[in-house]
Amino acid sequence: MNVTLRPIGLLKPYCDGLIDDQGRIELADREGQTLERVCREIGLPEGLVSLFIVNGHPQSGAYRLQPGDDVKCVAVIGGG
Amino acid sequence: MKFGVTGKVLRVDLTERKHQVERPDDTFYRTYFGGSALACHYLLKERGRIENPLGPENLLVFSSSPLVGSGIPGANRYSVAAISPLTGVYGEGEAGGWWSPELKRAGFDAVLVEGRAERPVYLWIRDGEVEIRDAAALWGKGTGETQNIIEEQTGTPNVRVAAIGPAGENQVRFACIVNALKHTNGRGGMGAVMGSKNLKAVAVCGGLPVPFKDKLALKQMIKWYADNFMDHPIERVLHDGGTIGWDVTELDEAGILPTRNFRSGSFEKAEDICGNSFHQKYFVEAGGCQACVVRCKRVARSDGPWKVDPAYGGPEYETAAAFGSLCGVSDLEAICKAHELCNTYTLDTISTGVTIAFAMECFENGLLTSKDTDGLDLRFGNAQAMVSCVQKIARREGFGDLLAEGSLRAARQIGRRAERFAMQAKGQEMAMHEPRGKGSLALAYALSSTGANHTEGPHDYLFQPGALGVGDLHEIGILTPTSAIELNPDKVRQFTYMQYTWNLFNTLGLCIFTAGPGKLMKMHQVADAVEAATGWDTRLWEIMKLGERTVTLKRCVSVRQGASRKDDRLPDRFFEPLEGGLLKGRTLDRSEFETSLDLYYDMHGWDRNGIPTPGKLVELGIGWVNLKSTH
Repeated sequence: MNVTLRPIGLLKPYCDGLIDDQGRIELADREGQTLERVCREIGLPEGLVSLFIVNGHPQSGAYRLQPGDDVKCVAVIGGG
Repeated sequence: MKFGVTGKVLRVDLTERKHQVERPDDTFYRTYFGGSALACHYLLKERGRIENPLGPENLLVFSSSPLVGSGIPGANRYSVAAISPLTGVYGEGEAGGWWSPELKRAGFDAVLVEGRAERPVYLWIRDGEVEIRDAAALWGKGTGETQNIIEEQTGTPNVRVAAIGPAGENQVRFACIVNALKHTNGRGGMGAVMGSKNLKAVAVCGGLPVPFKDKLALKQMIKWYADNFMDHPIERVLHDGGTIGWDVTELDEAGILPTRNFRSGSFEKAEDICGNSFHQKYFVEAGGCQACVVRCKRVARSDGPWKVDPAYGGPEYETAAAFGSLCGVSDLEAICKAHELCNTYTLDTISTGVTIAFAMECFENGLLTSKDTDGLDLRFGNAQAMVSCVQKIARREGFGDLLAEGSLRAARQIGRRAERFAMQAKGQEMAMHEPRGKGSLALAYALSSTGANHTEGPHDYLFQPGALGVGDLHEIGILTPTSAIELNPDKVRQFTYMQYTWNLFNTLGLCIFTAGPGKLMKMHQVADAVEAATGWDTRLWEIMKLGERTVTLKRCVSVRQGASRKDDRLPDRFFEPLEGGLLKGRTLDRSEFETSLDLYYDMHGWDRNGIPTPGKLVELGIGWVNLKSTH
């Protein structure tokens, strides 16, 4: 089963070509891999993603993906 | 020979219509540099407790810094400081643009304004010459007309003008100062202080050289920054989208987008007011400040029903959220219009938006009716009513006269426990960041000497495990990341050091978007830049102590005004559950908060009542500060 990854807001331009019309990236064969690794491999700058929301719950970058996971990647910076 | 500074401070007495030039020594400059610290020095040395911030006894300080004009990206800012009419304690606002380097080329590092002019005046400073000019033709004008008239009267196209509009003249307690129509000394009501002195504007122009010690080193740093900033994720994000492009959607997803007067952390129409929508509909071009390649500013234009004039720039994130999600408004064009009006009238967009949101909550809870609001249906989401309030506040017209006092004073006039809806600390309104989701921000809001302030230090999410800012903390001795939402001893330590960095930047006239933890220029490089500009053998230690000195000097000014632990408070709302968003149900814990205050005071060398101790003052080289008679 695929994993769905959704880069939010300012992260989208880093994933040009990978995102579908719904703003999603469908990833196959990622079970057991960490969120940090997956983000790095799809081109998101290291350290910019500061919040992962997996199935509606915050998780760390060390979280290992499971089949059917729905992941939002958010760069929370703040201030200005 | 001094480097990095003009060596001259201008003192203007508006009551006597006199001015004089002072020449501080090297020790003065190296101790107080400029910006916030320099302003605090004069407020503490020359004033006791000021009972009426809108009286002639208040001292208004415009202060540049040795780094300004060096060409280092972001080193173009200045502070305007005084006792705040909004809070009654230390007040300041920082602005970028071109005004600050121009002041130095005009011959001065700082301008001290005393007294009160009998009639409206403006200051005209050119190449060391100073005139106090009649401003009768300017009074009542917005910033655009003011700029045009001063250009005409001085015969100087593009003269750099820091001015107030009608809100400042009417002494709206959160009136700001605007230069070049779009750069604002936003917070603390410094525009009202100008208005109280009948000072319409400070216009500067100059061609005098400001010597910098090591021009080659500076040139190399500037080139390095230009070559590398687009490879730094945050600098690139700022360049590509500005602050409106980096926050609304992200904070909404994180459940910390202030919504409907901080009741919720998520706005169902966040997409309508986010950076993407802005860039698709109203974006004209990027803008920037002197010698900065990041160019994070955004310019808005609309020929739609609200007709937004691009001359006044465009909304930052703070403005988009304050007039948007906080007021429940999803009409981005109306938000752009509110921004334009604030820059014309000179209103702080944060305090204006929060005060309107306060009134909306009062209205929805029956504490205000349409009889009180001049017929306005002041429900959350009413964009027309929101824009009308901005105009009424600036003119102190009808209902606007109440809101022009700020949310806390307005709440006290309304009564019936309206204070519970006033989202402020020490009388200053919260910025657009949710402390229930950022532990150190809770400390920043409560502990800032200026009242609620979101620019006391970089925000928490930068220092989560794996986040960009973690490695940048190593050079100042913080080796472990922290969780964003937690408030614990490690977070207090991190906040303490972060507070030193951003307060340092307000003293250096350096932008928080180009340097410091999480940004391209690291703290040791900031020290290198200071050394190259001034010739002083400055290291990281010295500038961090300067940051600490700045924090404590500001505290001393506020303590002299009567502030102490009793004022380091947050609204009750933040100890109650968030009503919506990812962090729904999240509260701050009162016990953790009080314990954190204790730790913070201990770390700063302040007593448990929040008063700097004599030993700490001596250690920071400011043992002359006398706080004995204040408590």
